[in-house]
Amino acid sequence: MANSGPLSDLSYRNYDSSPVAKGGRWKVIALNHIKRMFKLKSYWILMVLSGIHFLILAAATYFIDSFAGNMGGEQFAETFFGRIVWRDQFMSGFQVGHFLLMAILLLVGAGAIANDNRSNALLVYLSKPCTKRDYLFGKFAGIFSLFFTALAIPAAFFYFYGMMNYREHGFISDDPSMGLKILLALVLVSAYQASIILGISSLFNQGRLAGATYAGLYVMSGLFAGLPSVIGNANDVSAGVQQMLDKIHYLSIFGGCEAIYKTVLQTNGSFAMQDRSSQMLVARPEIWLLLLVTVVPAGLAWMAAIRKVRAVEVVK
Amino acid sequence: MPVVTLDHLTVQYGKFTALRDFSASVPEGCVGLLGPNGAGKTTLLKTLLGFIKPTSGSGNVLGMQVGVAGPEIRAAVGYMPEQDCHIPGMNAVQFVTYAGELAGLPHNHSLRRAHEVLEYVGLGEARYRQIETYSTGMKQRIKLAQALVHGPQLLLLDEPTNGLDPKGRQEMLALVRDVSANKGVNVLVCSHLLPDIERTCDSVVVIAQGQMRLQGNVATLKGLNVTSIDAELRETSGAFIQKAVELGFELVHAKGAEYRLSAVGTQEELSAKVFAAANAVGAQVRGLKPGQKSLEDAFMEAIDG
Repeated sequence: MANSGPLSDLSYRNYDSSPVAKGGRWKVIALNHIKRMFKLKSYWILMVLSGIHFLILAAATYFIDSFAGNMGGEQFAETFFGRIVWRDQFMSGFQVGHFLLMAILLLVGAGAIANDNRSNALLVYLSKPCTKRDYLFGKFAGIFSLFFTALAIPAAFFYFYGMMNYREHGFISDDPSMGLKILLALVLVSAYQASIILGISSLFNQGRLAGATYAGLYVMSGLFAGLPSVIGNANDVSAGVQQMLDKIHYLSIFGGCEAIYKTVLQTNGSFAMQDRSSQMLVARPEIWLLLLVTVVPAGLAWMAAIRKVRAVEVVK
Repeated sequence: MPVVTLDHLTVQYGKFTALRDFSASVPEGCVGLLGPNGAGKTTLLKTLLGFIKPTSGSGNVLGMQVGVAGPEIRAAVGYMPEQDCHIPGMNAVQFVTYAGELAGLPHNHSLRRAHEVLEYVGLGEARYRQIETYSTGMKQRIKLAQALVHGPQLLLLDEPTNGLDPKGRQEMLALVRDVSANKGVNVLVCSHLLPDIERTCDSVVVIAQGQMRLQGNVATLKGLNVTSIDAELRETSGAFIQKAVELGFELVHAKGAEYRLSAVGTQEELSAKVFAAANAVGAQVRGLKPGQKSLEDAFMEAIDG
């Protein structure tokens, strides 16, 4: 209490120190979100687990490179390093760990706006000199940074590991711009996924509901879009039909990510231990399809967020 | 110098008009915005903060134009909303520090201010507890702390005693009064509770159905009404009333043998007329004093139009 009680602090005074900063509220919001999420152990555990493909691949390449020759497997080692397409491994890393990456996204993004809706926190944000644009961009930047970090740390680990050990096997020379391409792909995938979860989060008053909706959308769209292509391949359908089924393959959140990876890395994908000719690979999408499966959902999500985030209820 | 001026301000939500041709001038100090539920008080506060664009009219807050300089106004104003509001997963220090940073304070300044303000509002010992675990009274205080952290020139308090028990209410009102009277912060308290306004505010703006009904100093509104007089007789007398009306009085209200009468004239003239009426009908006057309105009277008159 001001005038009574044992904890009176009569030294309270008005703020008259350094000038109040004019802009950049989105940075405050983003940094706060990042700091809070970095404290979660589950974030770091999921990140390590999502990078399991890179860990296994690093171990496999190490053993094949170090021991195969000594055990009479020179031919195997030569074939392995001859077949491996290094840049594809970064996309494979995403494909293998995508469910765990989805869990990371749910952790860092599902409650970003939904929990604020539940606790009326928007009144706190928007009653400060902070605009709706600051709020939304701050939240987006927070989710984006966290998801990008989760994607980038395992990828960076394998990139530097490969650069130090497998240059003679074409790690850099096969595609000198691989590092930049990977970086661009990670940025785009992070922005795409962060936009969608931001939009979904803005529609709910509970992070759990937003998370369940995103997870449902992710899994169901992945299933329904992915199955036709697999069935078509298994049943040896005509090339025209298969092409159409391959397009459907990208009509999901996971498909959107894959479309970005394939377009940016200029690849259809491959697996290290398989003969490429025997793989049932889905060809990379045309630009229009890439835009349809990425820009349109992300744009819709942003529109939803812009529409839903407001400091007053609209009575009509 | 007024801290808020409003000139024929109209705010509409679709077809619904929440504020109609609202003009007022809010002076420095602690001012009450008084009105029944649904009168448009919260809409007015949200318009001042720039959450809602006025349909027509204009306004100024601390010399900045309403609807144009939203962020600048919000940098100079602290807002304590009516509803519970906090940022999930934070303790009080983190929350108030964050609020300060959102208002533009550097982190280290904001942290120091958070501790000061939390101490001031009486949450010193509970500052490291999660806000979700706070009682209603504590949540009210934390809302006040986040509104104060950046040292605003004007505080907008929306129903600050909402949900508080009598003790908590007294403490909150004392805080509001202290902020205004001793810390030099202008305060606009929005409430439908007359005693809260009466206790904390120097002046009042009465709002009803989105329109400004009355504005003035609390002391003046409660003050002496030179055109009315309270007369107490030994016993009730219909003949006295009849005679008083003949002499030009109007009966404001009667309570037993106590009558409030009003007429045009000075207090002395009215007193002489009362004695004349009593003398004419043989009634005995036991008490005579100038009529005094309560704030409630003024409020009810204003609401009734």
